[in-house]
Amino acid sequence: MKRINRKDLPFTLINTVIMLVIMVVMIYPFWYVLVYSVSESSYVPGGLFLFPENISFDAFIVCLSNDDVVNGLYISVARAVVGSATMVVVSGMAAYAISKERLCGIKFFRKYILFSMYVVAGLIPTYFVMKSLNLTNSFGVYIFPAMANVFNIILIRAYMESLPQTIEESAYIDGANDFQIFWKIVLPLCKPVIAAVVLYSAVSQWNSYIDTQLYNYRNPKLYPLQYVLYNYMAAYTPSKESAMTKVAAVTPQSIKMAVTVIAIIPILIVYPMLQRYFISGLLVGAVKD
Amino acid sequence: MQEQQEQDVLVSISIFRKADRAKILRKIYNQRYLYIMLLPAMICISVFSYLPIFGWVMAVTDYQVGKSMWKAPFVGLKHFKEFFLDSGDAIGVIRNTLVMNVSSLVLGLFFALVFAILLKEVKSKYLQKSVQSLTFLPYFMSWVILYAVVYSLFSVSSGAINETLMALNIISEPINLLGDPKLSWALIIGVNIWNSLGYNSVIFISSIAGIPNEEYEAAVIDGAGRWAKIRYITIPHMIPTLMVLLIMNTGWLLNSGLDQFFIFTNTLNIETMEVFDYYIYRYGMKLFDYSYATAVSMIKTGVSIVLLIIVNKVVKKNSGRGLF
Repeated sequence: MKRINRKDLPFTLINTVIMLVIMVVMIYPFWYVLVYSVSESSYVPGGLFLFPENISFDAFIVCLSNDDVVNGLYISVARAVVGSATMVVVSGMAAYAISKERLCGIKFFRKYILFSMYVVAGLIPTYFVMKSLNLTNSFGVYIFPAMANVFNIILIRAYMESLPQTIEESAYIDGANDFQIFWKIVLPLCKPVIAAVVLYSAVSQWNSYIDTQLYNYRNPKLYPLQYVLYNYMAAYTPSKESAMTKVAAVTPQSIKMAVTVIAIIPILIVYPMLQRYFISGLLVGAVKD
Repeated sequence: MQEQQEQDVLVSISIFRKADRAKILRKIYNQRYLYIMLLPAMICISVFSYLPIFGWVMAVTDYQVGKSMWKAPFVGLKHFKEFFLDSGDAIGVIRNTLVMNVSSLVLGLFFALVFAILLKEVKSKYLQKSVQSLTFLPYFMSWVILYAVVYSLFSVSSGAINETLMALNIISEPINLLGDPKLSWALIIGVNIWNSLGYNSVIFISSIAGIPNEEYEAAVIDGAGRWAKIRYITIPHMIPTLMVLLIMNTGWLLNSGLDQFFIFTNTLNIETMEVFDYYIYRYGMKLFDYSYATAVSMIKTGVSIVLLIIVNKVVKKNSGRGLF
């Protein structure tokens, strides 16, 4: 297989070129944004370029000294942490409960939970529910709807069912109740699946912005970073930008790039872990048949 | 089957007997922690998934803001008729949604399959893994980021690609990818293919890896070259997977995702860019026509279910088994 077949050469060459082109297309847009953000504003060449011109972090400094951006960062981090933690607790407990065959009425609970995945009420009715629960203009609207994630419940439950029953049984005999068994024994054993769902939940919380647009747009203090970035993109008002650029010689475009980079960096950091869990997660469903 | 039914009936009758009732109540008490653990999720699911369904009553009434949903005057199918007949919107919205979704789905899967096949032919494991890793990069980014990235390359005022193409005198005017209604479909389909290549190709790549080597070795003995191997072994193995993926996605054919379209739709390209999800959002949240928006929402869900059933029936007839 390692022999370089003379006849194969044209195909191998073309294929390699295709792969390289794909790599460039996938990564260059993000690289461009990164490189732009660290280039000194007045030296930025028009058009595509590969390396930063005159490295300067002015754009980032202006960004991070802006209250909106810092607050957005704070909200995004809070969402990711609180949202994921509550999701693990609520969904994990539910997964544990419905994995116990001895539970009275278990068939009903399982059907109730599973069927909810197919019940899509729509934008407007959901908005009304949020409004009547006073979840609009609140941080809770980011947290509560995401706590019981049916897909994650199914995943965690499947993993729990694959754990050996013996440890639980001996703890049960020793007098532990279900709650203690869940917290002290089963949950720690579920670290791999919990890590995977936490990762996904955190990314999902980090990337969300449409819920802000729907429910929290009146309260700028609750804007996550993505929404702050969206505002920069959408409200390209010259007056607002000239106000910002009076501070430093930084163009609005550089600032947009810098905010984009700040929003991308956490994703890039967890990216290798995401990939590993993602591929294994997708295949769990596919291999079944 | 009948025995099970008889047993269930006997059990439910026996609950009425006092001794059994006490047994069951005691069992519930012993498991009380499990019920407590189940409670938060049950509340959340009931409130956020099932409760909104009651909002569907707005679709058949003329809801007035500020008053109770239940007291609104009943108007029957007025809003449904309005969408299809009175407003000229239905055709445009349905056309936009279907064109973009069907194209994104078909082309997305097609390119993912081609990519998976080509990836297998790459000799270097290192290159293989690197390319596959990188194809996932756009998938984990939010649509705000993806829009920002497309904007930085294609904006009329300072987009890098526009500036480069103009500097090289390939075009005389910047391509208004983000605003030109003639380019909406190309933009969205292109972005979707770019975004989903990694995701779609995973299943193909693992299926290809599962093809037994013996088939390839037998083909080589019979004199098959690279293309013959692909044509007669790899592709036939992939067709069932491709079909399943295509069919599974028909239920979601009218779902475009407000996340994506909210940010790509603007006043310039709205005629070709507006999809169901955006239309519902616009009429509900911006124009406050809640009843109408709810009705359109129900239409979307209804048509999706009908599509799913039709496709499932067709598949069942052709291959003997469907999705359910």
